[in-house]
Amino acid sequence: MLEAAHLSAAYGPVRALDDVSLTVGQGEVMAVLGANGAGKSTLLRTLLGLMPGAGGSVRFLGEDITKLSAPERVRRGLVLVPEGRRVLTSLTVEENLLMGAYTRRDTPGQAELDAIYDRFSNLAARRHMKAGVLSGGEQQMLAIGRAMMAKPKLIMLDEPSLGLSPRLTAEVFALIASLNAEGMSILLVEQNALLALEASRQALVLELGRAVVAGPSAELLKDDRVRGAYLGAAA
Amino acid sequence: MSGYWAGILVILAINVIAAYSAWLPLAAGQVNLGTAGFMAVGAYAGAVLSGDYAWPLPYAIAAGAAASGALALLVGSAVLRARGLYLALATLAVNEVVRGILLNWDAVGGASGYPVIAHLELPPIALAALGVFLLAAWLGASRFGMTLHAIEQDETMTGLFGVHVPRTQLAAFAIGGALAGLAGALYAHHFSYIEAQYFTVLLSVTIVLSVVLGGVQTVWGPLVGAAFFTLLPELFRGASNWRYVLFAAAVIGIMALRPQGIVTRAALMRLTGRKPA
Repeated sequence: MLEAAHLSAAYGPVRALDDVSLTVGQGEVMAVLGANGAGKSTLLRTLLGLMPGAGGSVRFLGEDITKLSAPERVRRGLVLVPEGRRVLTSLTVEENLLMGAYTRRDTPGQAELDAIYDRFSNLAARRHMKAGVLSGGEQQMLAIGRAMMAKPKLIMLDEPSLGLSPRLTAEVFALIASLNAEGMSILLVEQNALLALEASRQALVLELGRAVVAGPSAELLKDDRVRGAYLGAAA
Repeated sequence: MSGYWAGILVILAINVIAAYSAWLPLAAGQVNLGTAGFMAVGAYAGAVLSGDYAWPLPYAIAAGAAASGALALLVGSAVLRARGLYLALATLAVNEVVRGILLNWDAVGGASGYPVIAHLELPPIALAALGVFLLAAWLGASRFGMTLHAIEQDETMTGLFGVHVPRTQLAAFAIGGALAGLAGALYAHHFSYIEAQYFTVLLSVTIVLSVVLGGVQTVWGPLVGAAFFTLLPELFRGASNWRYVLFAAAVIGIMALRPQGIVTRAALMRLTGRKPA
């Protein structure tokens, strides 16, 4: 449903992404692995149309969206949960959720908010509190809930486990699994390679902006290079 | 009511309107230091229309507000590309350009000012201030107001929600410009005389300061800030020449104790126990 071909992007003279292609199938979870600075976040930014001067093409739901603006891509169901959550801390939990639905032409009803609150009971209790008082894990849930308010067809998650305890990380990954079980396609950027490979079907490893390994996650789990560099096993 | 208090209430009402004109862009994180320039446009346009062209007062005042709103729309589409300090400087320059033109324009009296014949007393001015407050409260509680706060906090992220950030900022800036024009037109028709030298950058800075002191997070902040800036110097009047020293000390004290302004969202939530409008 998402096909990107020969993507390239740069920050000034610094090349951050070099000829990367990927395909995320309907209802699939794809993981993007790599060290800091490998180009993972840049890849998501490029897919969303946030990198000026980026090269390559992006197709989404069978349509060429290469020339579309980021909000237009969001409207079509390509939604990002950014690194560091970026919840609006001085707005309330509910206002954050409503902002997530801003791009839609219809107004979200109470039933839709309730569906989010059912899934995230912690958010329900704090719906009128400022998002800034939430814990890191709750903010991550809010960021995901906010993305869901945009009625996404594919969610891109950038480092969802960043700064979370192992228990909360497990909760986030359980959420990813349940969203996927409901049919959501997911593109997951993650430093925790083992968790990401276990949660995904396909995976892509970036190094210095280039795709160095790609394939089914189950195979990458056994790949000596991947094991040595990302899973902490002796190569 | 004594003439003294009526006079103070007129100034308060005009300052409240001016405060809301600066608040709208501020809520979206934009400092407009040209408010006095937009007030001048509203004042002169309104006064010329009610005087030289003998328009009925309500129409003249509305046209004054519309003129400064249109100018804000025009200027805003150019200067809103600038960010932060640079935007503040650009709007400050707009203020001075407007003042410079009026100062040298003989048709509106040039440096000797422009006498205004039609006169307004307190009630209609107070009514206008109330109307502006209600408008600001409605805007603040609307989707538009929520969007302004979201932009103020995280422009990139808000853009990703599908908000057209530049257009929203321009709307806030232009509505603010129109409100400044309204304040200026009312001022002109109460004080019966306007001169370019009144609408200085210092006035713009004072208006922005009053909003920041009152708090930009809620619709109550500008009201409290304007009241504070209008009434406190009067309370210190007994201290004669020392009153501005006392006033400045009070301003510094408040900014030290409440850096987010007197009225904050958190404070309102604690006060009412629920989500503020």
